[in-house]
Amino acid sequence: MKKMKLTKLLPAALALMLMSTAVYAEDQSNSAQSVMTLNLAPYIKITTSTAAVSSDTGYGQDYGSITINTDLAPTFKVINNDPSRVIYLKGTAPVSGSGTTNALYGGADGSDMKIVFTNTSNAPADTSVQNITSGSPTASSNPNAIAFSMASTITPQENTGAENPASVEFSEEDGIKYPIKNGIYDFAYNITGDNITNTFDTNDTNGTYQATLTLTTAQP
Amino acid sequence: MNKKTISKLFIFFVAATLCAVRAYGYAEAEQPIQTVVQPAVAIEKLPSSRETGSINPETGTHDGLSSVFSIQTNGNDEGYDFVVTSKIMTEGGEVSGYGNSGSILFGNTLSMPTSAAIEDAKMGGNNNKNVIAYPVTAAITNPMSVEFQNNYGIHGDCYVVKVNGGTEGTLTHTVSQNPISGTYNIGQDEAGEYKAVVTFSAVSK
Repeated sequence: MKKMKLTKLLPAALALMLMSTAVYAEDQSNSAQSVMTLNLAPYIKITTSTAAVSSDTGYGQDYGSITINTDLAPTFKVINNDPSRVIYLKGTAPVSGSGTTNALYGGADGSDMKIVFTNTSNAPADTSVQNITSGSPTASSNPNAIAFSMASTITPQENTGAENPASVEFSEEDGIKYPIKNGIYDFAYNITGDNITNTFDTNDTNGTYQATLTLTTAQP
Repeated sequence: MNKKTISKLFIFFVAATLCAVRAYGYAEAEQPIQTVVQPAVAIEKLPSSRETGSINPETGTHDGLSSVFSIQTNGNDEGYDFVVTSKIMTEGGEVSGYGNSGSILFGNTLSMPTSAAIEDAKMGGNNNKNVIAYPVTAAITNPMSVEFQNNYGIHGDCYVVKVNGGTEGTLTHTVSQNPISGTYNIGQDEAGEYKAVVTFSAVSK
C-alpha cells in the first residue's frame, strides 16, 4: 500500500475510534418473551338422571295389543370438549343363556327407531328378538319379546358450542351413531304407546319386560 | 502547507500524544477526558420460568405457570417505559391479551377465538368460546415496583414496572391456577393447546 493511502486511512481510523463510544450508546430497547401454553385434554362426561324407568301396561281387546301406561323417558346429559367426537346409543335386551342382544332397529339414518323388550324371567332365544329387529316380525316367532316405538329429542345447550348432530346413522353393529361437536347436550328418548304390530300375542308370557339403553363413546 | 505536510504533522502529533507518558518527567499537563455513559438495559427470561402446563377439563384449573425475567439497567423511569405486555391470537390477528383487571387470556391455537369472545373474557363474561382467563400476580425485587395499568400510552393494557433507582431486579409474572369465573366452560372451550405470550420490554422514551 502506498504511503499516501496510509496517511489518509490513519485519520479516518482515529476518527472512528473516537466515535465508537457514542455509537455504542445509541438508545436501544431490550425485551424478552415468554410463550406459555396450556394443554386442555379431550374430555367427555355422560350421565343419566334416570337410572331406571318403568311403567305398567294395559291390554287391548282380547289380548290383541299391549300399551305402555306411562311414557318411558330415559335421558342422558353429555358434556364434551372435543369438536370431533362420536358417541353411540346401544339398545340391548336379555336373552336366554344370560346374555343380551341388540334391541334397536329402524332407519339407517336413525329415524323411525323401535326397541325390543324381553321377558326377564323367561328370556327368549336370540332368534326371537332377531325376528323383530329384522323388520318383518311374525308374532308367533318372537315369543317373550315385544317392540315399541322410540322417539328421540336432542337438545344442544345454547352458547356451549353444541349443535344438532348431523349425519346420524344406525346399524345393528354400532347402534345409533351421533357425531357431535363440543358442548353440552341433553339426549332424551321416549317410548310410549302400543306395541309394534306382530310383536305381541299370547306367546308373550306375563312378567317384567326389560331393555337397556347405553349412550357411550365406545364403539360397540 | 500542502496535504502531504499536513498528514506528516498529524502523524507526528499522534505519536507525540502516545508517547506522552514517557515525556512526563519533562512537563505536566492535564487533559480532562469525559465519556457519556448512555442508559442501557438488559432483560432476559430466566430458566426458572414455567411455561407449559395442563388444564383440568372439569374445573379449568391448571397446574401452575410463571414467567421469570431478570432486568439490569442504569436507565431510569424518565428515560424508559418498562412494560410487560401480553398477546393472544384471534381469528382477526394478534391483540392484547390482558383483561381489564390484569388477568391474562389464553386462546385455543387450533380454533382461534373471535374478537368478541376476547372482549367478553376481558370483562370476565361467560360467552367466550375458546378463551380462558386467569388472574395474574406480578412481583419484582425492591426498590422496583410493578402494577397493572389500563391504556398505558402506546403500550395499551400492561403491567408497568418502575425501577425507582434500582439497577437489578427479578420480575415474576405468575398465572393463578383457577380460571376467572365464567371464562372456562367445558362445553365452550374445545380441547387443545391454549397459548399466551408475555413480553417484558424496556422502551426508550
